[in-house]
Amino acid sequence: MPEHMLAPQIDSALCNLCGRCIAECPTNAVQWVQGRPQILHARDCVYCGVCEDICPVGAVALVFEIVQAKDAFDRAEEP
Amino acid sequence: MRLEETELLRGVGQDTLARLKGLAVVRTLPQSALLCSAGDSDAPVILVLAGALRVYKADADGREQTVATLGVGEALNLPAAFADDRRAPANVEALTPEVTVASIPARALAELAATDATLAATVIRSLANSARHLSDLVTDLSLRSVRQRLARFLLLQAEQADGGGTSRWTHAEIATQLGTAREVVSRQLRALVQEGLVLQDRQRLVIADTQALRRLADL
Repeated sequence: MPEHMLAPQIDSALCNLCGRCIAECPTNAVQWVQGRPQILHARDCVYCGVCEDICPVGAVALVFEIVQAKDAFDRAEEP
Repeated sequence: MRLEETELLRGVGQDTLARLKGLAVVRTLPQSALLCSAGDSDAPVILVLAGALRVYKADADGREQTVATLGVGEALNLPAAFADDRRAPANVEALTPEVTVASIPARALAELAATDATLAATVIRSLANSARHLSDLVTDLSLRSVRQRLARFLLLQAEQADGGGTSRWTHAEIATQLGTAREVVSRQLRALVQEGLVLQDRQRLVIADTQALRRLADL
């Protein structure tokens, strides 16, 4: 697993507060925080993409890093 | 980068350069700022001095196709100076956090190209490179499936990341590169993962079977 864990990005300007990402998250990583959906702990998120798929307004985005297998191995070996 | 170091103005005569420097308006834009929209009349020719720009077309439903990404030293909007239809051919936005561009009035550039052979040659070279790029894009969009285009995209990005950088993309951004919808990208990526060509390690998409991906991409 990558040492630096990215979390899904939720665009508060687009979010319509429907709460579907919270209801469908399989690990309960998305929670209401001050009336808005938020990833509380990146470690809880398994990056499955359900929140992105379910969002009706395209407010959720998961960023991916595209790497060669060799690079993935090298980076995992870094101290 | 200075104006005289850009692809369009490298080697042009001192008089021409002085005229263009006098006409150029240099400004810095924040990320996502719209530089011009498709159909704009009197759009200037743009030279990128720092950062990168995204050139794209969009339909009424908001679906986008990235036509080109232009980096430091590159020029765009040359049709505004030389084509019969002088309207801006596409939308242009700042791709990186800070983009510095020089805008040159299209008509003035056309007049100077008529008297400076070096400038005329660089204009022709830039337009020829654009024509080749667009021809490749048409081939890609018309003759290759989304799955093949995605395979090509992943290989290209992984190669670039191999050079030391980090290639980070959302599915929506990939979709604008491939001319399709985000949902299609998500579905096709899942299929590549299930087939073992790509490995998903949390946020990392690892090229697991380069040869199979190359065959799929028709490379």
